[in-house]
Amino acid sequence: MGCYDDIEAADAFVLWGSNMAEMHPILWTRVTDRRLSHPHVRVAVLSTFEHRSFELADIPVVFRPQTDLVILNCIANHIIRTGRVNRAFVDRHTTFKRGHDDIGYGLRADHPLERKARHAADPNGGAPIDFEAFARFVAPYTLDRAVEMTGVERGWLEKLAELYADPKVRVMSFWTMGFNQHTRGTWANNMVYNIHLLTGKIATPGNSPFSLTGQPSACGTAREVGTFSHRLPADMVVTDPAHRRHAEEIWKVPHGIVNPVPGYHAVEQNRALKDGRLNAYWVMVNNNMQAAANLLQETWPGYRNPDNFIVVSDAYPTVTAQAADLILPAAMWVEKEGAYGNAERRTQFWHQLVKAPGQARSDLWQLMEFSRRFTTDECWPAEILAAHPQYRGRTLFDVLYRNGNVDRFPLSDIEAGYDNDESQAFGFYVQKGLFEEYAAFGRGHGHDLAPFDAYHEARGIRWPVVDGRETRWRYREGADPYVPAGAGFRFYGNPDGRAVIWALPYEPPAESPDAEYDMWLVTGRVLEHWHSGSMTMRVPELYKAFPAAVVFMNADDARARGVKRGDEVRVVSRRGEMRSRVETRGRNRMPPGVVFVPWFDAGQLINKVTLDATDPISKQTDYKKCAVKIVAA
Amino acid sequence: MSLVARVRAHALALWRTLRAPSRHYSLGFLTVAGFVAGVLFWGGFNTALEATNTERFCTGCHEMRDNVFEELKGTIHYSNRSGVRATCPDCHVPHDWTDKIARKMQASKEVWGKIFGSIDTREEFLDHRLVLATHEWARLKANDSLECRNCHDYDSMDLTRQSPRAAQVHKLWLGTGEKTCIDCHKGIAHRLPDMSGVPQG
Amino acid sequence: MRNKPLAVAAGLVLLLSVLVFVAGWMFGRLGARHGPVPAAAGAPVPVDARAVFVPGGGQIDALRRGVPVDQEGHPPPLARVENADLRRVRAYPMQPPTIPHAIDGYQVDKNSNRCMLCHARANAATFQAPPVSVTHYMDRDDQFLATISPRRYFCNQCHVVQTDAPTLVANGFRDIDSVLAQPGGGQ
Repeated sequence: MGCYDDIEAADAFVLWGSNMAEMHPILWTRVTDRRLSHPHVRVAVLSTFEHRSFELADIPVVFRPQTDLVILNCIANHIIRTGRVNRAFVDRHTTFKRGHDDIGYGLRADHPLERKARHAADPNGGAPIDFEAFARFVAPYTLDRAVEMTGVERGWLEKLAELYADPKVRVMSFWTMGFNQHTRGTWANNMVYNIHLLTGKIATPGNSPFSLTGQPSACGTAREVGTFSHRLPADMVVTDPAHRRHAEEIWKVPHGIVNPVPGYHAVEQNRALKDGRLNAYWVMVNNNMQAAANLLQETWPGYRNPDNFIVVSDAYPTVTAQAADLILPAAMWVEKEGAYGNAERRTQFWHQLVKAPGQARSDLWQLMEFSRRFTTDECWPAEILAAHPQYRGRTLFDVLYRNGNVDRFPLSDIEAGYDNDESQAFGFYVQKGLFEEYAAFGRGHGHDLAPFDAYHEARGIRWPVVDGRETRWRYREGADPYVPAGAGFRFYGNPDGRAVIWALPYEPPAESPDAEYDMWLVTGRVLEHWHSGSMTMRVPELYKAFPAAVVFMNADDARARGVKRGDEVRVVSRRGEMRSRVETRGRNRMPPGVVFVPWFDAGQLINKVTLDATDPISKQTDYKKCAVKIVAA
Repeated sequence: MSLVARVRAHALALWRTLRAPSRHYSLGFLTVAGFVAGVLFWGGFNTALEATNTERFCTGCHEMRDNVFEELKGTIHYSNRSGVRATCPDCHVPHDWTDKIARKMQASKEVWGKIFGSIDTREEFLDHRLVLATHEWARLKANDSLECRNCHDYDSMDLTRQSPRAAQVHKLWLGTGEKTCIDCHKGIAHRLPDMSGVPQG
Repeated sequence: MRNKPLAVAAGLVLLLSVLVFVAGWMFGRLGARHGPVPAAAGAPVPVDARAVFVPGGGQIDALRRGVPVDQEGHPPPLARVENADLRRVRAYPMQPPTIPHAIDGYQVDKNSNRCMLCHARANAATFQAPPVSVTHYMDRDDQFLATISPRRYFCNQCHVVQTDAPTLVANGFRDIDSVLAQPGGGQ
């Protein structure tokens, strides 16, 4: 709800399981600038091991995996006990809820952990409570208990809590995958919002709970546009009949066409492929063979199930492409005109700058062209065609694109001097038509986008864009045009305009180290390589900087297992094993009992070893916690 | 007799025994026995002293083990190509006897700190870090990096086996005697504290 | 007893010797090495990973080094960092130059910046190290500052070392000069 401008206004930064120094380096330069230019600024970094972001830390916190939940409740308790709750804000702008606990781990339904979870079926449920009940709920999370459970020094926790409790400190919380790839990630997100809401430190310059998603356009390409398996554009969902009707109207299709049942989410897709419930699968811009957890038990048998037909559109020969039955060459980013949205709600456009090589085509072209091969007669329900005979015998291309709406902008609207291969192929300005159709969802509903042409002139604009003005801080009067005068704040995403403070407990992870598998495995990235390395491993300078994955390990742990730096080891879990080499030095200083393996290396697929447990609410896999043993090879 | 009176009586008897000249043993015997006893005592004293000069002893305190020793583990003085490594006393305890004993007497302050928890937590350690480091830098500067030179002898350095930069710097500044090791190699074994205002190089 | 002082003296010496002996024994034993670690048993035999990619056999890319996805190969040995101080060609003018030497143990954090010891403008002549680029003196609004902008403090965010790892995939990149040098500008 804030924006990057908060960085230049904050007095304190708290990194919750986020390694910004390596993963968000440009933003980190801004944080570094703020901290080093203003000595009063404090930086707290929290993680399960020491990494490069700790180089700027005033408050370094290395905690036991999963106990970030304890720290969050401990801070809430500290705020309440020391009387620093902003009652004016809390009473006027928040409500309290007790969330369901014991919600399972998103494993297969027949897993014992799922069977005994009380609220596995309704993980996101809850009941309203009041402030006193919330205070009682967090009361057991004392400083002593936090020290005992997290293994963190008392002094650091106190200092961290004070950053939130002190009303004079404008605090910005950053988080990424340490919170989100977490079996209780939704809880962690809610709990960090809790401590900002309890103190009223939200939606004002410098006071900013800031989720750093959106880096690879997760916000713009997936969330805002609605490409999740349960979503429609502009935060609408397929399960809501009113939302479906609205979508059908804008898309000019008959009512009843949009499927009310959510599709499979990513983890479920792999299971469905393996079980044979999903038989045709088109993967675009995705290397899930490398990225998904539990490769040997789920992903690999799923893709190679002879009943399934797997198509992969990609620019690179990834391991996913290797597992496919059909590979389609895809155009890359500047080989097509496009747009993306980032973490501060900034939508940005670019033009096509070069032609794609050979027969490579953009995903957009592939989808539009594919739609020509379906007719309404063969895939729409008979009763809908009977009720709307004007749709009979038409291809889906005609219905979705040549419908008078998406095709209404001519080629002459394309800025002179720039190619646009999709539009040339289909005869109209494809991107503009689709964008304006999509923007119709959000305009007037708090998701307003500027007119298409504005984005080719400005260096990105932050939505909601109303009357040509972008919004830097949402939900705050004066900054957000949707907040009425006199309201102060309004969290209009909720019907009552109030933000929810959730009472949620600590719960252990799905799999913890035990006598046999005695180490925590954390996976993640390194600066030099993006995600699965399909691009960066082919750039000589980046490849040579970090040519292969390694197992970052504490030197004493290595010695105890009779391995030295550089030795070949097997990383073994209950689900599989992977061979790698030990690294006891370098950028990550591991505490005893924790190892870190980056996942960029197609030659070292660490996801053979990881567990496909997810947050039951967000369905995101927990890549940061599973149990392994390290064995000399 | 009361306890106090009995203890007093025994003490007086012992004193008289010690003060009285030897009645039964020759001068030679006493001298030789005393010499042997002295050797045994010295051996014992030295063994105990050297026991406090081991890495095991130093890292027995969690303040040392979790802070400076942990930091050492990533450095070249802990693990390197040749496997020749330095332990705590190699750098921090002077080798010659008088300086060593002086350092041991200074160490009583460390015992005090341990008992009263001056650097019980990492936070306190980090706050004190600059002061502690400055002591060591001053010591090494004063004795021309003697502890470094106990192992690293410039005359035995084969500069062709060093990296070009290292060879150049060593020749220009170490060889000429213009600089001493600690001038440039602060932080070679443990992490540096806040270095604003501290000259390096 | 016949001679109390002798007994006392002998007893003291004996006691002292015993104490010293015991202390030495205990300290000596504490440093004892453990026995050799037993070798791993029953591990599946890994596939022979080849450094050179040979097409065919279901492999479409060299990054996996010839090992099928569902099998494991020996990982390549840890690559060594090039430490020859030889400057390398930049692919384009604004590329942050790669570091031509090793940086093991170089502390770059809030307390100290090891890189600047040699690469600061004032020290460049002393150490013959390339001083930091003028672009590092600019703030976010492209205004020049007197000293290095704090934005550029963490050198390793842009500058990396290079190892001797053999590249797995051919690279056809041509820099702008070679593109422009072609007759007609090239395409």
